[in-house]
Amino acid sequence: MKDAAEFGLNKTPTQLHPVMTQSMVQGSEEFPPHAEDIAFDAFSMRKSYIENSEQLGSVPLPSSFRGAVKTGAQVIQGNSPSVLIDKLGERLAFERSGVRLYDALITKCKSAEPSLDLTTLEQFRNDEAEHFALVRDCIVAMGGDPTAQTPCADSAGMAAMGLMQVLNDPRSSIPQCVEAILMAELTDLAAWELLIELISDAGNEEYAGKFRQARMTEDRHMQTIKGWLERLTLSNEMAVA
Amino acid sequence: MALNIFEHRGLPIEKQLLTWQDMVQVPISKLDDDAFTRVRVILMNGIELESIQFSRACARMNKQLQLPLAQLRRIDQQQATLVNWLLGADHSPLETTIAYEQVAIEVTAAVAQTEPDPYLAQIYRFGLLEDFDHMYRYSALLDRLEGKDSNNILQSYTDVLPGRPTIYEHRAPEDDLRECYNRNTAQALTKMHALTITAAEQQTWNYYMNIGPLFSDPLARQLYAEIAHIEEQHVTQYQCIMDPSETWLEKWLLHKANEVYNYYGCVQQEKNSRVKAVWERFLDYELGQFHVVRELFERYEKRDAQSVVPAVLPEPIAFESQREFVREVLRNEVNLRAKGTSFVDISEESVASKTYRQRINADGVPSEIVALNYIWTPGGEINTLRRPINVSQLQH
Repeated sequence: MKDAAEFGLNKTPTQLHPVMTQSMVQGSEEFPPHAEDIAFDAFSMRKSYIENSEQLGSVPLPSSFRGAVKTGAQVIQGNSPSVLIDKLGERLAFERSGVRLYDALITKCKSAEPSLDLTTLEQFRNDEAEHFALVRDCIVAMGGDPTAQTPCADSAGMAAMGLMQVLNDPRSSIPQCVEAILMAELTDLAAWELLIELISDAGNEEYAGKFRQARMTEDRHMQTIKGWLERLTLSNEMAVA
Repeated sequence: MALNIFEHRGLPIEKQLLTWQDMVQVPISKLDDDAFTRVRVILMNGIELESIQFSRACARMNKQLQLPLAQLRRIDQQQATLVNWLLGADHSPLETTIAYEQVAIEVTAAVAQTEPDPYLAQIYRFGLLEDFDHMYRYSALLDRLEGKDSNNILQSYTDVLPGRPTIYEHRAPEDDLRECYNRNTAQALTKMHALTITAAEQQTWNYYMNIGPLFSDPLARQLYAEIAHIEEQHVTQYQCIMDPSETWLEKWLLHKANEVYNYYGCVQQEKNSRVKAVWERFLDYELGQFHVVRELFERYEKRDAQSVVPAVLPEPIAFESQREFVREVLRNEVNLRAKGTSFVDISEESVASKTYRQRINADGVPSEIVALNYIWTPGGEINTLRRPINVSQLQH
């Protein structure tokens, strides 16, 4: 069973150890904090690093910018072509990881209760794969290289590491996994909306239209997952009551 | 009740093999298991890693022992994997760090109280106050960086209070050396203690050196860099304790005896039945390995193994809160400093250490920055911050 957790012997509450906890609190009266060096503070230290840091990396230059335009490659218009390529790279990476997130959820649902509708889950996984292919084709059409990892792709990958950990942990429950997927889908939806604006600004109405379709699909994902989470959570509440 | 290591033959090493599934078991629960179960998991991983590292060094210096060393080292590798993989992935690296410091504090404090050699007991008390301070600094980091309460790991067994401030722990190398026990006169307990604490500190150094770069926050990166340096000093200190005139085989025999000794202590005190079964299995493994080394020792050195390891091993290390002892040491010895191999009052500290510290601390000290005005509060510092939380509070 991978249902919601039940009451048990969780050992983290301090109320389980009132005497020891009281002793810990009182300890700071006898052994108070004492600064030995106040020349630097955390904010100034971090500010210094932020000011002197380098970026995660750069956006790879599309061939249309290198003067070696591939046949059929479109010239990227708009004010911020590097931003567009960066965000396309991010979407590409996110959708590719999304396939793997759904893979993990499908594995969990085939192995534990309460299972979700596997046909829907497999459809959602395939949607993510199609979105990956859509973004890949868009990048290629613009002369970009879809095998590159852009800075935003890297950053989004870092942000999603926790989701991956939750979904792949054999101990996580189906509701916990669904919540992790919801975080991904909520982000995904907002990101598609932003990407539609970016690609429209760049004058690429062909892909703007395709991206709007993808956004509608992602909206359906998000609403479905959100509904599942509500039902899983509320039905569990009812069971406990 | 203590264990007779020569009577129990353990499992023959030919039968000691773990599959990948054996090695990767269901981890302990961060939330539901007792903190001392995690303490034992971390300690025993350290004991296994020390065994492996010693074995490698020994193999580089002893051609004729390379095969048996490789055979036993392979089993150690499997044991270390099973034990270390008992930690669940829901422990963040920083939460695991808190657990490592809990090991350092509680185990060193227990050892300091039963160590028969007064000079060595002093060494343990000295190191204890430094690890105790690391707990305080890392707890501040966990609270202020991740918004988590270190007591969710500690379960109120271990204090979160300033110890000997980490800023003062940086010493010149010559002040980290210590005198060793005498291999011929030291009690077995002294030898077990030295090996155990060295193992624990060595794995802590190794862990911090590996996970420090995983943090994005520059203050966390600096704090791990700083405390990893103290762990290096601690390993330097503790490894000095062991008599360098012990032969390679003698040291190998002691390592195996120490593994038996510590697994036996775990078996005696473990409350999680699934984890206890692991300790029982590995106690059986280590007894089997001990007798392989005993046979080699007696064959090559032509002396009785009982001249090195007594038939009955000492009482195990107690896994329990040592709060009152630690506070007593804090009251009495926080101002001690190391000078050469001796301990002196703060006023007599060496010029070499002061100079070294001045240089390495010149651009700011992360352990100071991270814990400025930090007072541990149940549920996190946020419970005591005034609302609205203004910038000056966030600057710590």
